[in-house]
Amino acid sequence: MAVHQYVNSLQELEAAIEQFKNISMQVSSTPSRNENTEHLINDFPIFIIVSGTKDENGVSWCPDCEKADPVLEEAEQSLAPEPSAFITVYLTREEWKNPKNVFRTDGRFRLTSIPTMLKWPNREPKLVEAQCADIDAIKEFFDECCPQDQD
Amino acid sequence: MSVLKICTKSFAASLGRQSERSLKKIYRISSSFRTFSTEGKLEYDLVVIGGGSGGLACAKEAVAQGARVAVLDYVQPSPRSTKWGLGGTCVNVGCIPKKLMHHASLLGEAIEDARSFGWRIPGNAEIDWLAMRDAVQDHIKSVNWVTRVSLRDNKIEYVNGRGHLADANTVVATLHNKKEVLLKTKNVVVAVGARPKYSTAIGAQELGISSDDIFSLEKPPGKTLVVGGGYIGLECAGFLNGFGYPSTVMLRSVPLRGFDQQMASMVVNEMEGRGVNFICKCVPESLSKTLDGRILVKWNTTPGASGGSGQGEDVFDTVLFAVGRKAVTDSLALDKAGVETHRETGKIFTTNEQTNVPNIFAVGDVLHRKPELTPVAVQAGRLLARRMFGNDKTLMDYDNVATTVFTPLEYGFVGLSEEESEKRHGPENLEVYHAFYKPTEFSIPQKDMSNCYIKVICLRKEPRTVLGMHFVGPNAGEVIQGFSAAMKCRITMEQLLDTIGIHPTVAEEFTRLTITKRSGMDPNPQACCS
Repeated sequence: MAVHQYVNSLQELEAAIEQFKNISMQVSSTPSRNENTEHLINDFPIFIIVSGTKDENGVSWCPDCEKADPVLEEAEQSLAPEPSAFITVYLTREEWKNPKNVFRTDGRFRLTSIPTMLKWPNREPKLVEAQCADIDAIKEFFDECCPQDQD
Repeated sequence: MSVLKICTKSFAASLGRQSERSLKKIYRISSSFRTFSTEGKLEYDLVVIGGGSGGLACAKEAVAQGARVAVLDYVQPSPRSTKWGLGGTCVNVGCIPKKLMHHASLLGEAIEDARSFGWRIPGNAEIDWLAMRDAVQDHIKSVNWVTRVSLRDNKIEYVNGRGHLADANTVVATLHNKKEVLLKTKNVVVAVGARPKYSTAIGAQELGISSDDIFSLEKPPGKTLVVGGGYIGLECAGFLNGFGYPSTVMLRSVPLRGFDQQMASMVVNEMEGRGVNFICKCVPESLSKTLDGRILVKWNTTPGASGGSGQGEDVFDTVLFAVGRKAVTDSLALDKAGVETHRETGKIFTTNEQTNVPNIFAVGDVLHRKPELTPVAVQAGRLLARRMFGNDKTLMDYDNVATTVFTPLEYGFVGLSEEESEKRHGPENLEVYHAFYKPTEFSIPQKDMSNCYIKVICLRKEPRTVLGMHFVGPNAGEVIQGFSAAMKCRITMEQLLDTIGIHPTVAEEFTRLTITKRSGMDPNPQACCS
């Protein structure tokens, strides 16, 4: 399970990242049958999804983003590391098509297509386009970003 | 810090949630092996142990030939706890980061050269180690990822676990959570490669690093001692020096042992001219930490050697051991299947990549007495898979494999060294053509050209087959590559000298050779286009 914020610009994204960095997440677990421990986790992965805005019917102008949406939601529920944070950045068609768009030019992103999912602050590995709608690819991506050392 | 409780719809009654979470964990583990039965056994045509250059090439070709394949890959952390992803040594801690750092280092030099060509460049160029390292690591991660996606696209089962043999048809993969998975297979390819050795000096393992660590080092290396005069040591010292970190190389015996020694001395001369300090015929005795957190190294003359730099000591920020690589066969339990390995090196004896056990094969750096190069492992792996599952019977040809040492002034060659040529044919049956040359672009910035040298060794009798071609100079890899195709066609000296060069290049010097060592004439260039 994860916490999710939705933003519309680089400034909002940076603010959301800052916010996530300043919180702890309280996670409950039951390692043995009757014990119920809660611990605070300060350091959790932050995943960023850059996607296309939706119209008044909730449909995105970006067809790949539209296909990826339900799959990413399912992945967030059942596959994402626990805990983790997600931030989706919504860009309008005009914003994305502009070759000078900050998500294309900024060295921290250098995106060439949307939807793209990456783990902040790494540019690689990342999921692009059809990979975002592929539950197996998403699983590999989480595995690659957050290798489980012990379980 | 504020505390955020996760309150989602599904975060209902605590006990119910816990069991669902533990179910999710099982899902996450088992879903990566969704094709495994609950006992964890499954029949494969081929299990490849090692996801590096050789292993992956073999696996992909095998799948293309219709085989059912699984690849195991696992990285034992270095003594400094460095780890990396899928792709093997080349991608993570070898060829790729090496070439990138070598290039980054040369770019610093190019910035300075640019001034003499009229560029106005304010201030002095300085390397930001972390920025350079991050750029390199970013690229490596993208390759790790592409490799992983490619395995999935090729329908190759990827197991991130440490492999060993239970018997000739069973590979056991031990996962990160200690769980074991059994893979039953008709064939096994061992492609586990090798890892750096450390010297036996006191404190070497505790305080030293290796090529496993240098490419992801968290802080600038500073004043560095590189122990080892093979290509790994020289290349590392080369780019570190180019970045501005004072570098020293300690050689036990000779540089680039086994390579053409005349060419090796050119490479070393060039490095010395650029400020790399060489300590000759010495081995480190001890490493210890100083009060200010640096490393005191004490060294002495190599046992049995004479001359050399003699006993000494100095303080360094980093000590990098590049004293050889050992095959990672110890933990494979090869004896369970009866596979024979070399007692000291751990390397596997093979004939046409087949071990003494008929269904167990090996490719890459793990092979006894074969070149430790990515393209060799890739080609051998591919041809092996074709022989195993296809109709192609082509065997791997390990001769005339071109290679390049990426020192500041690069050394590329294909074929035999002068020493090896003399050993095989006798000096009286050889003709050695040689020349110093002047790269056009070196003149204006007044770069040192005294080590720009080429040499071609051929048979004296008709048809004067070329045995070896050697080149020290810029872009040596690019220069030599084409000539290795010519060597494959058994090019003769006549054909080489009949070839018309491209002007102005450095590669064309091979077509302009006229002076032989036997003539005693001066191999220095007279004029440009004569």
